[in-house]
Amino acid sequence: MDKTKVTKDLENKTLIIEREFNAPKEKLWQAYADKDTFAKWWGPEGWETTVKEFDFRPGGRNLYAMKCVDKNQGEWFGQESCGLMEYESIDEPDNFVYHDFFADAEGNKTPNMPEVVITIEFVENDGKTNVISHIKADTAEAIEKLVNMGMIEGFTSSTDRLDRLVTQA
Amino acid sequence: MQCELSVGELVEKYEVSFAAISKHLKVLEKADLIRKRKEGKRYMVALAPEALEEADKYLEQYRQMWESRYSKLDALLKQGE
Repeated sequence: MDKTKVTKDLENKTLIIEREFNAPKEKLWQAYADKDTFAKWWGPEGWETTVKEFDFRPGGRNLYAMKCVDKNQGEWFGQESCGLMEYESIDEPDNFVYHDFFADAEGNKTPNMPEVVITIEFVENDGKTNVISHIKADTAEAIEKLVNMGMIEGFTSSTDRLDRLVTQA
Repeated sequence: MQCELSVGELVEKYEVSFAAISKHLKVLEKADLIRKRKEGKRYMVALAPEALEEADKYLEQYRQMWESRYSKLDALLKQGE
């Protein structure tokens, strides 16, 4: 069931994540553009998403918290991680661009993090839709850092300032 | 150049508790992202130099995180049919 493909393109400082879905692209668009639908799937397995702010428009933002509710995930259980998206441009239903940040529960951006710009692209073929996420950082090192810290949002606590310090040192 | 800080210096610089820092360091050490060594009474912490080269290992975990997320979306789309 390994349907998700991740490609690292360090030359372009980009990570590319691809996944095909057996649904038309309007439905996939909805999964990102509609608050309630987004909250239902955004947290990885065992993580519940609460959307605190949601304004899917250029210049608008989405502040969400993910909480680990799965006791089997050991040290992650009970931990909460917040993320912030700032939408830059929206071209329904083909693609949208947002800036991605770690944040605290109030939506203050976590300092000293690489600037990451993400383009989500929807390509439909024969009723199936390929969702392609282009995750672009300002330096190749930043990409490595994101992956290292990794598993990015969800798997590390956003209040954890220390791991950033040490990965930066 | 290897930048090294003591655990006490980290506590001071980042204004978090000693317990919180210890917890995070343990996780980072387990992931081989940092090196810890004892110098007298202090523990010195530094980034593991090979950490960046080992990114591929994390890339796979990253991929699995996305697969987990997308599986949920997949199920959600099927539900809505």
